Amino acid sequence: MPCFTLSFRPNTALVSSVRRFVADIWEAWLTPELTSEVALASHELLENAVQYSSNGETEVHIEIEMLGDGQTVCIRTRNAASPENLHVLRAAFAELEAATDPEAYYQAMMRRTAKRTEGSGLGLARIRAETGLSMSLDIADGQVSISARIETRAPGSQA
Amino acid sequence: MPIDFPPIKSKIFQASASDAGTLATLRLMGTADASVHVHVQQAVTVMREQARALQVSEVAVDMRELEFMNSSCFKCFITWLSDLLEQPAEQRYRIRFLSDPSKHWQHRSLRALSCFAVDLVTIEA
Repeated sequence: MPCFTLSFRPNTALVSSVRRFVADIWEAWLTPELTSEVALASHELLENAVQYSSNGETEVHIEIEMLGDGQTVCIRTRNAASPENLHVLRAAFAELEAATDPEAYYQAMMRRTAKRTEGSGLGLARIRAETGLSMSLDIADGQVSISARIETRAPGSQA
Repeated sequence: MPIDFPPIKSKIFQASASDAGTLATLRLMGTADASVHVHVQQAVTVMREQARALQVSEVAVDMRELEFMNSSCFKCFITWLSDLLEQPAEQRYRIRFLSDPSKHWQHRSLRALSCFAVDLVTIEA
């Protein structure tokens, strides 16, 4: 089961380095398209962690679990966050989970954030609509953990 | 009047522009992430001003050498399209995105942009 965990004090320049590292590592295991999706999700989640981290530190963990003729890819970021940011994240996830159509929600977020001047507000909606990864939020003791997961099957195998 | 677009050259992101007749081209290269968001915003803002001043009928945005674009830089294009949709029909122009099929994120992100502004956006692979 290939996996890696990086702990670091992120800055915006490092996020792109991690994305390239992720793509280099996983292209041996995943299709080019899925590698691109995992790289995009890693980038957006890490930028999110940079934005919401209260102590400048964050951790990213990525693993592939082989399951018969398929595999599960899981990306998880973890960071400390202030109570205010925890509230913002809970609200963002509640809205995301209530939206049943990822593409319609993405388009709605694009319309809503078009005039926004700070940040994009699009990262989570983009991951879900453009990659198909499902996401979950866990908060415990001021620590935020966001997971993005996708299950794939080998071509020709039964779903 | 030639296009007035000072080239943008940062370590990881570059932008340049040219024009020919009623077509203007914005060429983006490198990586568009949070560390260069201000440069991407500048590139889009200047291109919008120039497209209006030159009264072009189409702007081509060449992304074929753009490795990646994060969501905050992507939003610069959403804002551009949103503002364009609010203009009177006679002041609108089309935006044609030139993409690299081997960069899979481009297909997915540009498809979202084309859904956002169906009548204004075309994608060329």
